[in-house]
Amino acid sequence: MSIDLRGIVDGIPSRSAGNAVYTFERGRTVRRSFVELRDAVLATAERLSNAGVKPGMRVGIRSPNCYDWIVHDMALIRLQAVTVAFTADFTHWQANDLIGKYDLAMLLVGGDRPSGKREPHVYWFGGDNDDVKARASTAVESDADYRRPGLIFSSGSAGGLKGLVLNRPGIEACVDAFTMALQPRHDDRLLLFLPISNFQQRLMYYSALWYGFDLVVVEPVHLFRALHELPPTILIAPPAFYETFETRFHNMPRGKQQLARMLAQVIGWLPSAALRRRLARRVFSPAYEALGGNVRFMVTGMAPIKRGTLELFAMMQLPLFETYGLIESGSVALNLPAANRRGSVGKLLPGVRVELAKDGEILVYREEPIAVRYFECAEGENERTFLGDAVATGDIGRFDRDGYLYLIGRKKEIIVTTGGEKVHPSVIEADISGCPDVNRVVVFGRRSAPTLAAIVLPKQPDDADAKRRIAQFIEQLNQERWRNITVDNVVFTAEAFSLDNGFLRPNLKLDRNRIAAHFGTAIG
Amino acid sequence: MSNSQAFEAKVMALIVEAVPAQYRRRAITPELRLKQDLGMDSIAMLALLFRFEQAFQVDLSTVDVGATLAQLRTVGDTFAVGRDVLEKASRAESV
Repeated sequence: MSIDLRGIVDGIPSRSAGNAVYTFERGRTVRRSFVELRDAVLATAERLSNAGVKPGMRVGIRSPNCYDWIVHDMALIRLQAVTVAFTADFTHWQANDLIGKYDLAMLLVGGDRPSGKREPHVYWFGGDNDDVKARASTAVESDADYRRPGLIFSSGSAGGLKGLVLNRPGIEACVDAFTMALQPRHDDRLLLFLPISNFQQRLMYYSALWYGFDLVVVEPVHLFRALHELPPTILIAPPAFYETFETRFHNMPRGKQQLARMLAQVIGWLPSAALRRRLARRVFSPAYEALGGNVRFMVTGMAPIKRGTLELFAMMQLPLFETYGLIESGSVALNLPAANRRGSVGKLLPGVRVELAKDGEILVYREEPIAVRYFECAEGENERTFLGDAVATGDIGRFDRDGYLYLIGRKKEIIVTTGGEKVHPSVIEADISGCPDVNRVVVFGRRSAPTLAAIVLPKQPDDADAKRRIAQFIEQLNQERWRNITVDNVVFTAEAFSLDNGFLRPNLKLDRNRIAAHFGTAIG
Repeated sequence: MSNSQAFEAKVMALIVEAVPAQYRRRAITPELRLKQDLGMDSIAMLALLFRFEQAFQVDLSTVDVGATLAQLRTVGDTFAVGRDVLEKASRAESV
């Protein structure tokens, strides 16, 4: 039966009574059944209603991950209020400023309550809130069908914050599609450690409460503890998490790495998946232990993951799959155990249709979108993103003949050479990164010629032979692989790409403008 | 090797295994910054903390992990904070 957001709590006794949510509180693991959660939601809804919260009112939530986040979110859904989930970007805002700017009836806050004057419309989790009342706000919308349950915030790739209006039928369709693909069991346990204000996390607990599987909800700082003490079977994490395993592997003595690879190769020849897994668990025991030892499905998205990381996990017989989605469109594609192609982001999820625009931009169509518009964004962003039935993702993609979707790069990053050739720099960069001597490479169009320049950070910047090998590798690509484009200016640098020098943005993606400005005339 | 030197060598080994490839060009010394010079993002720091717990067989559940991480700026900080954490954990155990 498809999920009904409004019916999650009432459905718990029949759908997920045997499951529970686990949290860490003051150094202890706390287990609460979904039935207890349901009771807490009902009590909280009554309390908020008595405080004046009515359908259509905007109620903000600003809190670290905690049990109360989930309880109050579900209570507000029950009251058909409009939740406004504030991300960490709003940590330093004064409560009254948030209330004023977003016309909130009330702000729910988690964390340590400061001493001093109580604010009349600020409600603290776990506090004495008898005097807290809903403010008469102007933003009360009539929404008999509760189609607009919330407002959320999302960071764009350029770093600017955008506010989105959620669409309940779209949320439900997205939860159903992802869950159908995941096929969770009642004995599954999903670990949530990314901020709940990131809407994808909420989709996951809606799924858990409706379809019936356990939840572990912790703050990011407790991630590794949670893996150890409450081992999940399902894990969703950004590439950076999985890359810590790759880093650790590559920092092992070379001999140990080689031995591990050889053993992995032999294991890979075995016909039985169960046997392969059992043996891999012994060879790669530190990785299995660090992941809790129980994991059956791991997903990554949010940013591109290094091919080497995916290959390492495959070598270790650990089930890591890449997915693709945006908050504007919901999840779009997902690799699965039975349908996995490394390098792709998988096949389209049920209910999703994709068209590629003339320039290859991915346009996502769903019968019901997860978000209907921005309520806060840069000028023109709504018109560029929400195109009638479609969401324009800004990503360039392609399909292979079997329907797997591949991401090529961001639309904004396309280089048009002076000769008129359009080039996706990430494709050229991926080719050059195939040279074992290359650490990082960024490609730019040249003003002075219809060719490209490559800024290359070698693994050994002081090694002249390494630089020669890199130059030869690029020349070979020019001759044998690339048609219509040439990289004829290779600029070597010894400068690491970091947050400090601005070559990387806070989301760890390349800041191409900054890099171009730094290397200036050297690019040519 | 003194106890203090042995402790620092063990912590240094944990840091070495956590530093991404592109930052391992130079020798790791106490004044290097974990984030800016050694490329350790927040998840890498959490992993380091957890490896510390495993390597020294200490229970960090009573330690304010967030505050601990906030103090870790340089390699040298990991030695000082590590000693402090061990001491606190050991006091908590003996209570």
